[in-house]
Order: sequence, then C-alpha cells, then structure tokens
Amino acid sequence: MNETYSKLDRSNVQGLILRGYTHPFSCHLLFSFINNGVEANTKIFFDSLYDKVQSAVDWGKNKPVSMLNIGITFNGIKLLSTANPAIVKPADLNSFPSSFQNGPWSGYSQQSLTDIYNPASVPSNWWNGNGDNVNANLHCIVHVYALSQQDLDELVNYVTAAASKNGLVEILPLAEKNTNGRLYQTIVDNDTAKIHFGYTDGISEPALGVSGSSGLPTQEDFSNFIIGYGNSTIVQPGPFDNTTASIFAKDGCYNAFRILYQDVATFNNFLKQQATKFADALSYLGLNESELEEWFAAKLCGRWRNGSPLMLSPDKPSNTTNTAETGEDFGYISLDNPSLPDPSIPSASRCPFSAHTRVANPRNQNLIPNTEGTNGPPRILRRGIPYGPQLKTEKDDGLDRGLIGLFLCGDFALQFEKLYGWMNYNNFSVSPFYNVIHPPQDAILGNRSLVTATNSPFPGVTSSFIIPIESTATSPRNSITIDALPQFIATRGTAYCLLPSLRSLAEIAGR
Amino acid sequence: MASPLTLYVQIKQDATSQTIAESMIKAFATNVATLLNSTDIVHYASLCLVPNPSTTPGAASSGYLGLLLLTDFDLAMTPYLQVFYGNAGINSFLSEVASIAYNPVPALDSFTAFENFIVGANLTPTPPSTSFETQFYQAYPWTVNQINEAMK
Repeated sequence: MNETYSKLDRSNVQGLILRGYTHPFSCHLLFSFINNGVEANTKIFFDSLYDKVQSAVDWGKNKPVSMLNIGITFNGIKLLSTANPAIVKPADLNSFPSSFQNGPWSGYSQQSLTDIYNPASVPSNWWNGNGDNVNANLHCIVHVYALSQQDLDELVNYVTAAASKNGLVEILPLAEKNTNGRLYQTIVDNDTAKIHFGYTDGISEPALGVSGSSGLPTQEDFSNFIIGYGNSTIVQPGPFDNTTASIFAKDGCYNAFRILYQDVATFNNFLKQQATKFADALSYLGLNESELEEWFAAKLCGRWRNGSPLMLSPDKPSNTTNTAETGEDFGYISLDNPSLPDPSIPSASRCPFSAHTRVANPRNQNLIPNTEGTNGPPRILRRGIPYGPQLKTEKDDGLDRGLIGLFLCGDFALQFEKLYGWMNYNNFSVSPFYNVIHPPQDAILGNRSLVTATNSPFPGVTSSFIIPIESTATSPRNSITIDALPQFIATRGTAYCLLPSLRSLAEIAGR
Repeated sequence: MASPLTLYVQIKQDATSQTIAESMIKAFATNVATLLNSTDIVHYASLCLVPNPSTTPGAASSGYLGLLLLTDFDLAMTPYLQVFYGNAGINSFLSEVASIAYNPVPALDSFTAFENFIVGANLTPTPPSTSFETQFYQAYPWTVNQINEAMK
C-alpha cells in the first residue's frame, strides 16, 4: 500500500472518486446558477445539500439508502468566485488547467473527442439540441444514488426543491419523452453491471493505492487522480501552485461527464450480419449462429459479454475469468511465445489490436516511447451506467438510450482526451501492430466520420477491422477483415466538472 | 492536419533579458532542433526575435520586443504537449523563454502550468468548436511517422 494513499483524508474526498457505487438507482441532475440573468443563492443551495454528500469514508455494513456527490464546471466555479472571492480569488482562476477552463466543446478538446465531425454528435446539438446555451450555462451536476426507487425519488425531489427555492434552473439533458428529460439509471437484463450493448461493464479499474515496484507512482497511483499530491507524479493533477485555486481543488478530482447514445439496433444487426457473412470462414470454430454473434461481440470488445477477457478465455465465455478478481491478471505479451521477434503480435489472434478494452487499456503492450512515454498507458476511473429503456425489438424504436459516463481523471488532456484520441486513431503502439499509413480505430467507440473528414488530426484513418483467425485447410487465411465498421455511438453531451473536496463544498456552503 | 503553434512571448527590455534572447536564437538550431528531431511528431520549428518598433518612421529600432516560435506538430495539441514537457532539454528551453517574459509567468514546474503557458501564448486562433479549420495551411495531411514510413 502506498504510504501517502493510506494517509489520504478520506473524509475530505467525495466517495464517488475512490469507489464505484453499486446502488441500483441513480439520477444525474444538471443545474445552472443563473435564472434569467439573476444569480442563484448558491450558498444556501450547497448548504442544503452538504449533509447528503457521501465522502470516501468506508460505510461498513451500513450502506447509505441514498446519497449524493456534486461536480462543478469551470463556469460554475467562476460564478462562485465572483460572488465570494474567499472561495477562489478571480485572479487565481487561470491556475486551473486550460482544458478545464475551455470546456470539452472547445477546439482544443475536440481535436481528441472529434464530436464536431459526426453530425449526430456536434456540441451545438448536445443536451437535447440546446448545446451552445447549456455548454455556457451548465454550472453543476448533482449525482444522486439510492437503494430503491422510492429513496431515489425522495432525494431527487429534495435536491430539485432546494434548487428551485434558491433560484437555480434545472437543465434537462434529454427530450422530455425520455424519463421527463432527466438522466435516470436503467437496469439492463436485471443486471446492474450490464450496459445496453449487453456487456458487463466496470471490471477493470485502477488500484489507486498501489505504487510501482520501484516505489515511484505508476499510472494507477491515486496521485494521478486526486489533486494536490506532488508534481513528481506522472500526471501532476493541477492546479498545483500556491493559489487559492489549488487550495480549493486539493483532494478533488476531475470528471468528464459524457452522455453517449448507443445504437443498439445497429449493433445487434451488425453482429448478425457478420455471423452470416463469415460463417464459412469461421466454421472451424464449430459455433452456431447465435454463438458466432457472441464471438464477434467479444472480438469487438476484447471481453465476452459476461466480462471474461479474450486473453484468458479465447474460445468461449468463462464464469471463472469474468470478475475483477479473476479476470484481471493478464497482459498482451506474457501469454505469447517470447522467442518470436515481437512476442506480442500473436496475442491479436486472441484479442484484436483494435478491440475496445485493448485500446482503452493496452496494459503491457509496447507504446511508442517518444510520444506516449515509458510509464505505460494512461488510466481513468470509470463510473458508467446505462440510461434509457432497454431495446426489446430488432428494429430501432426511436427512443434514447445509452451510457451515462463518468470518467474520472486528474488531467483531462493527459488521461481522458489522450485515450479518446487513441480510440479514434490506433497509432499508439509500436508497429507492426497496425498499418502506420492507415491506422484503425477502436472497434466500438471510434468516430467513423473521421474516415472521410478533411483537416482532421488523424490522417489516413480507416474504419476497417482486422480479426486474426486460425488458418485451416478449408480456410487458408489468417485473418478476416470487416471493411467498414458502422457508427455505434453518438454524443448527447459532455461537461468537464471538478468533484471538489468536502472542505471546499463546505466553504461554498458558508460552513 | 497537424497542430500549429505560434508561441509569442513579449520579453523584458533589460540588457540581461535581451542578451538571453539573442543567445537562445544562436543556440536554437544546435540545441533545441536536435531534441525536436527525437520526438517524431514535429514537422518544423523556427525561432525568431521580433524587433522593437521604431519610434520614428524610417529610423532604425533597437532591441527586441519578443520571441516568436513557429512550429507544427502531429496529433491533438494539449495531450501531446506532454512530449515537450517531458523532454528535459525542451522544457528547459521553454522555461528560459518564460523567465524573460515581460508579463510574469508562473514557474513551469507542473504540467498544468506548462500547458497554460503554451496555450495562453499561442497566437494561432483556437480551433473553433464547429470544425477543425484554423488559420493554417499545410500542403499535406500526413504525420511525421507516416512520412517516414512511406520513405522507407
């Protein structure tokens, strides 16, 4: 255990940061501090909510029936600073990282996120078509969790009443035909760990308290996520100076709050089409059509839909490798023959290079040292949950559904945006993993619009997907290629928030 | 399309700062350009001194108003600033630029401070959030790695 981590004041850190909640009910409420040009009474609003904020202190056996956490955007902090300079001096606001200040819709962030290239994802259309207005006026997000629908409703009503009473305006991020426009958690297939594409999510998470064998922080060390623990860390979460901004931000963590629509009908139909198209080439597997669909789903993700990783269970889903305890101990080199010139290449025959989990966390795969560094891949903490009704039909029903993504990090540019850039352009590993002239994309999350875009930072990108397979006498090929992966995802909105410390929330509340 | 960076820093007018600026120009090609070569993402870099304006039309001016670094590197701007922040020689060079800045710059001792300095001093208009178009022309779209690969 990292010594500094063991001394971290957990009572000062919002609980969401250090642990993934398993409460089956949640709602994520968006607010503006401005109502028709009039500033809200944020002090009383935060005071009303303060006692409901869950810290990272272990709750033992008494799991809270309901609780909340709060994120604040840079524009929100700016307003709080103007109203009360004791919180953060206005002159110190520039100490916050420019990526946080500028927001995810800014040109710099969009170089990685690339929403501007997909008409269904452009920032001006985010938040139910009110993108520009909401991007400028979204000031805080309240994440409400509960053990039952009734407990959730009670706390949601409490928060919205406090907001209304103190002049805050609730922003509805979805069309009102979808759960009154709010972001409520959905339970897919009666399994709180499942997302709409059918995968079990949230298995691989950084072990925050662990330092490297040399005693120096690794990419997974908590000091790369929690602000204020030294500039000797890899990420150096900031602000880390002597300004009031750094005092305010200490023990906080950034949250890229991203709403991703998932086109379930297109995804399911794609799996069916591939199972039919490649049935002969894959006949050696001895799988029926439904099993072949699962095989393709696993190849796209890098894990079977039950969570077991292809590297450990290459032939079929396993119930012994499908949890964080049993399905984590693998790399993309160690299983292979070390006598080969590049021992990591054959691992693609188990898990394709562009499979989602391999792109998002390539583990021990060799990265290009000059550009990606020598400390291993950047990590983020994921707290994703599905929203919207489960699709019950083969064809799309026109309803909104997808993922409420909370991607926690210490630096948006170095962790969240860098990984997003990788997902759009798989050029981060040493060749010959990929074609340098035409790098592929993440098989699930890649933005396919970039393939035909001009002026993008990703020249030559392709949406084709190569799946290495076994060469047989009847099918003498060593891979199958899907020429053009469809667009499975669209962005409904993104906000960059700071999850401040309890002490800073108390400061805002005037306590 | 790579990320253009037009870093302009107004410098102090005292003799020491002006001398440092001149020496940086002289050392740039041998010291910094070699380091940039190792990054494999920089297309070009040029450092120049911007002269002070003359006080009378036609009269010669003396001294320098600022330093101007023109460069262009692959991939998204802010995530890949870490390549330069993590390179001790390039970091030292940019810290020296910051040390003679007319407007005080916080010590570049964290990535956040480094990022904020570079982004704040970048004269290239921030790409709009509606397209990737910038006030920048590039004859070819390819990355340094792609060009090197094609030339093999």
